[in-house]
Amino acid sequence: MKAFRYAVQWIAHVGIALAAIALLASMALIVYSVVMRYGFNQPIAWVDELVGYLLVACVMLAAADALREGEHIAVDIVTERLSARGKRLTAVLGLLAVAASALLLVIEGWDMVAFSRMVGLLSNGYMAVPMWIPQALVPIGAAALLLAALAALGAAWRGETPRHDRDAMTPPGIE
Amino acid sequence: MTFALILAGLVLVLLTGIPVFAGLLLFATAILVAVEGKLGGIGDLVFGKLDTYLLVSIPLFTLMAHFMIRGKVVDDLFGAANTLLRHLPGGMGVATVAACTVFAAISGSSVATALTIGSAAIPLMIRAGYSPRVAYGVVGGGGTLGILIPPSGPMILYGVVSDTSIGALFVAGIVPGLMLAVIFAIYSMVSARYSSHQVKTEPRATGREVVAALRRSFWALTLPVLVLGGMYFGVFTATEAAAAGALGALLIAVVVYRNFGLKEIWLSAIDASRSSAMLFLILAAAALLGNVLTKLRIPNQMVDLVTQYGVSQLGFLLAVMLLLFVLGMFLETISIILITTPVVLPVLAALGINPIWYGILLTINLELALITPPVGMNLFAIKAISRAPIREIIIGVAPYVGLLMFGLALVLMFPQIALWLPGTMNYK
Repeated sequence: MKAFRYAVQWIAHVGIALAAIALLASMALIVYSVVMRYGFNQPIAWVDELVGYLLVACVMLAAADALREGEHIAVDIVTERLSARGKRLTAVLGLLAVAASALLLVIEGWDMVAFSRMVGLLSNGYMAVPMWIPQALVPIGAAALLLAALAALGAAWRGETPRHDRDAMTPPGIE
Repeated sequence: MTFALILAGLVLVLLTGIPVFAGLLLFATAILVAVEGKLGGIGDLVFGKLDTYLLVSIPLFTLMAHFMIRGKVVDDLFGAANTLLRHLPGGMGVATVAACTVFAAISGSSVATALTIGSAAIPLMIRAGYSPRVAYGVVGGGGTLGILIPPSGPMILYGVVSDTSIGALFVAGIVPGLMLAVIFAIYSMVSARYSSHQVKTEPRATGREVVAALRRSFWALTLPVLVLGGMYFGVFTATEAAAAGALGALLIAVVVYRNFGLKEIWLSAIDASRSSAMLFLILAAAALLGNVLTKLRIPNQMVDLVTQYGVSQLGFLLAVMLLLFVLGMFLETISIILITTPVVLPVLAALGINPIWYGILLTINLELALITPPVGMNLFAIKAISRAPIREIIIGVAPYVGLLMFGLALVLMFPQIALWLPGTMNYK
């Protein structure tokens, strides 16, 4: 069980690192394409397409880590009034819902990848890559999220309160 | 009616406290299975929604704000504004509004604005003798400007969903944003004047202090010019402006402020990726629900309903604003945009309502959503800073709910407040 938790932690760390690299790479690629367009009059045709795939990578690979850090937005006005037992119950319910959603994305994502491989689908952008390669990010990221949810369920089962080391001052997303 | 039932069901599901993306995804899947009797196509839908070049601007703008915050470029925004405005009645309140306005032009997030400016302004205002409620109110209200003054995360989402020019939406937010800032500042001055809780005003800043304050905040002011100017003059697309802004913020933090290393870059990128993961999973799940609503022909039913009863533009908009206000009490902004927009859009087209104007009205409604209890992200942000009871914060912010409604009514009556500036650019 301990080994499983460490493995999940490791997967989440690798995922968020790759996500951060994907984001920084998008920034660099977009600026590079602007410079080439204005500075050298040579627009780079493949940047837009690649940046789209990098966004999929950034989101899907960061999902497991975001769950571990308690970042996923939830409406807690009702649950925060419950007793300790009720809070634990709703926390488990939430994790079960995340696990079910992740499983759904693994299955549906896998179907998409299998179909794209079967028909040999190529992207219709400039890169013409086999579509299953970027599409595979969906089931891979969802699988990592599923493992993270199971690990958190295991911890809740043993009565551990979910850790909340998130700094309350970290500016969140876009709200 | 189906739509009302679905919305009510969704609010109930989310009130159980399960993460929003999981609640949306399972709820939409359940309806899909009930209607079609089978699953399928969810993978393609999720991948297709995420694989969108325009949406990359959201994490990039977040990254830009993180660079500015971690690089301490915006640390003294409130101090500088206070130096310039402290001689006015309620001077610190006015300074808070001004600092929020400038930060809103750097960040696309209202919560980030309230957190960043609030953690500087609230303790100083209370120490200077302002009533805590006044401090909570002005930070909560001023903070909401974050999403109206460009860049704006919600506007990018709305622009992508409604296929409206993000550049035009950004430019359209400028005048209403500044108008609301002025309304908030006037309110701060008037309420300070007639308050029983008098705070003595400080002497006017000397010339030397003014120059020092401007020098300290100069670099924070350069980025909005680069980002908005670039889009206004058609040099950049929104995504390019975001990438250039992020790189610009990085350069300022590294070269000018010199307290930024690889570690800070790395931590900023990780934070931005994490919040994007959370946001975009909600987006994908809400897209599935939007898809289900379309399969149920709910947007068409709305159009039929509106044309059948001869609803006027104003009548329809008022009804939508009311719906948005109620949803805003319970849901967060991302879900509100993604669930209502596909249903509202065809009616906008049928009634000839300008989608950019509607985008601004929607954004002001979302500002209200951020400060209306029980679920209001800015209220929670102020609680995180001040550890005050939520009741005190709600009372403090209440006047700003009224002021935002007043601003909303002005933009509703005079569309030109929003549409004049984008009209001067060639946004097609």
